[in-house]
Amino acid sequence: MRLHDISLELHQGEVLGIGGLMGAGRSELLMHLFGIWGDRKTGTVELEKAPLATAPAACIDQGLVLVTEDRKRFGLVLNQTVGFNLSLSAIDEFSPGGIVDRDQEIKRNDEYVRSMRIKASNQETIAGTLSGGNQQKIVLGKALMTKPKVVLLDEPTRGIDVGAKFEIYELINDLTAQGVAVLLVSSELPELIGMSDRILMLSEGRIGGSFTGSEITQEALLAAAMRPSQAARAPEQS
Amino acid sequence: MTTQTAKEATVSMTTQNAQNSQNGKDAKASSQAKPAKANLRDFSMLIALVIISVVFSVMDPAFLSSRNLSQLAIELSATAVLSLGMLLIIVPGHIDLSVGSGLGLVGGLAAVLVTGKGLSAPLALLISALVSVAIYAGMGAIIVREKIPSFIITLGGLLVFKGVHWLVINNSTIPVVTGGDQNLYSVLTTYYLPPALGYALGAVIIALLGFAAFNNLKKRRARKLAADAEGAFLNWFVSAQLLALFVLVLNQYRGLPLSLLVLGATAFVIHVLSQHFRFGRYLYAIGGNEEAALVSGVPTGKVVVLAYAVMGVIVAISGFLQTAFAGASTTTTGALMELDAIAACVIGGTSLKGGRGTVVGVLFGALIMCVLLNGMTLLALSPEMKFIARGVVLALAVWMDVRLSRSTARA
Repeated sequence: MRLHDISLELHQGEVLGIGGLMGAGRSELLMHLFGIWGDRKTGTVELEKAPLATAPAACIDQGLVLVTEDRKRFGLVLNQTVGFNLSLSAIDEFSPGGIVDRDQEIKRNDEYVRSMRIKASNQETIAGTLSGGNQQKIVLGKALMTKPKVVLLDEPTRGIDVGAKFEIYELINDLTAQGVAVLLVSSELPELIGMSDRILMLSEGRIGGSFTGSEITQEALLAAAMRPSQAARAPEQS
Repeated sequence: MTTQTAKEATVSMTTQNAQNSQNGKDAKASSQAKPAKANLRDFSMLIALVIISVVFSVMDPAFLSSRNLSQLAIELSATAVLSLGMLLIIVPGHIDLSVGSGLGLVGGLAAVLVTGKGLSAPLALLISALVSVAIYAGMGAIIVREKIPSFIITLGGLLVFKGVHWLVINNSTIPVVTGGDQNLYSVLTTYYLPPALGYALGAVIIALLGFAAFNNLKKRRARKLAADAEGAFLNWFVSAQLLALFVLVLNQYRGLPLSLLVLGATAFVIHVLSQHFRFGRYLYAIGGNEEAALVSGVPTGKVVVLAYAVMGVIVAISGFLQTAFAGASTTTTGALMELDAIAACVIGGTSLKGGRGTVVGVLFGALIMCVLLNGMTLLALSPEMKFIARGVVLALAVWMDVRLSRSTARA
C-alpha cells in the first residue's frame, strides 16, 4: 500500500470527508498524518504554519488527535476502567510533577461521561464490558479531552447502533461549531455526504476527485472512487 | 447457582468440569462476580500462606521460633525487593531474566570496591548503584530501540553479568567488610532496631495505614463511588494485627531487622510510583494494550526504559542485601533469584501478559516463596529437592496465571 500525491487543506470548523473503496488508503492516510503508518519520501504537513510532528504523543501536544477505526486494537485498554481510558491522553494536564491529581481527574472524567452520554454505572466500570457504541464514545471522549484543533475520525460510526450514531453526528457538529477541523473517513456514502463540507475521494492511494457543494452526488463520488489512478495530478496546495 | 460455580471455577482452578460444561454461562457470571472474585483471590494467597506455615511448623516447631522468623524476614527482604522491581517490568508486558546475576555483579562490585580498593562503604554502594542503573537503562534502551524481545536481551544479560561478576571478584570470595569490622554495607543485614523503636515504628505504620484507609473511604464517598467501609476496616484490622504480632515476635529475638525497613520503604515507593504517578498509569496502559497506549499518546519507549532504570536501582538494593546477608560476594550470589522474583509476581496475581499486578500481591507472593525456601532449609531437605520444589511452584504459578487470564478474557 502506498500513498501518492495527496495534497489537501483543512480549515477551521470544517469537515473534510475522505471516501474511497476498501484499500484505497483512507485509514493509512489518517494513520500517516498521526505518525503511526509509513515513511514519508517527500512532502510536508503543516498545522497552523508549523511542521506537524511525526509521533502520536507529539501530534497530540500540537493539537491533532486520531480516533481509530479498530477501537479494540488501537482505541481502548479494555481491561482497565472507563475513567482510566478517558483520561489517558490528557493526563499530562492533571499530573503536575508526574503525580496524578485524582480529584481533578475524576471531575474531568465525570464531565465527559455526562457530555458524551456514556452509559456506564460509574467511572470504575471496566471498559471492555460496555457496548460498542459506549466504547466508541470513550475513545472519542479521550481524544476530545486533549482539546484538539484537528480531529481525525476513522469510521467513527462503524458497528454501533443508530442512537449512538446520531449522537456522534451531533458531536461532530458541536466540534465544528467550536472551530475544530475534522477529517472524516467513512465507507457509508450517505454519512459522508451528510456530514462533510467537502469530500476527497481516494483511489489506489491517489486522489480520485475532490468535490464541494452541488458537485457532491453519489454517482460522482462513486465514479471518482472507481477511477483507475492516472498520472499524477497537479497538487493543489500544501 | 451458575454464579456460584463461576466464582469457584475462577478462584480455585480445580473445578474443570464446571468450567467446560458451562462456558457461556461462566462468561456472563464472572463479570458480575468481579469484586467477590478479587477478594477471594487475595484471600486465597493468605490461606495458602497459612497452610504452608502450619505444615512447616508441625514438621518442625522451630519454624515459628522468633529466631527463625527473624532469619526469614532478612531472607525475604532481598527477594521481595527484587520482586517489586520485577512488577514494574512485568506490568508493561516485559520480563527480566538477568536480575539474579545482575544483583550478584552489583553486590560483588561494591564488595570489591570496599575490601579490594579500600573505598568507604557509602561511596562504594553509591558507585555500584549508579553502575547498575546505567546497565539496566542501557538494556531497556536496546529492548525498546531495536525492538528485540526483552526475554532474549535479558537472557543474554544473565550470562554476560554472570561472567563479568566472576571477573570482578576474580572467582574468589570477597567479604563485604574486612575482618570482623562493621560498615554500612555489612550492617544492612546485621543491624536490628531496638525493641522500643520497633514498637513505636509499628504503631506509627498501623496508624498511618488506618488514616490512609479512612481517607480513601472518605474520598470515595465524596466522589460517589462504591465504598466498602466494612471491608476496609476488616482489611486494616487484620493487617494491623499481623503487623503487631510480627513486631512482637521479632522483638523477642533481636528486634526489627534493618533490611526489613529497606523492604518497607521500597514497597512504599513502588506502590506510590505505580498507583499515583503518571508513570504507573502508563505502565498499566502499555501492558493492557500497547498499540492503544501508543495511539493515546503514551511515550511507550521512554516509559519502558524508565522502568528498566528503576529496576537498576532495585537490583542494586537487593544485590547489597543479598551479598551482605551472605557476608561476602561469591560466584553463586543471586543465582536463580530472577526465577523466585518472577514466581513471586505471578503467585501474587501479576499477569505475565502485562496490565495487571499490585504491590500487596507481590509482597504476598514473595512471602510464600521465602516461607517455602526457609521451611525446606529448616527441614534440611537436600538441594536437589529444593530445586525441584522451586521449579514446581514456578510452573504451578504460571499455569494458574494462564488459566486465570483465559477465564477473564472470556468475561
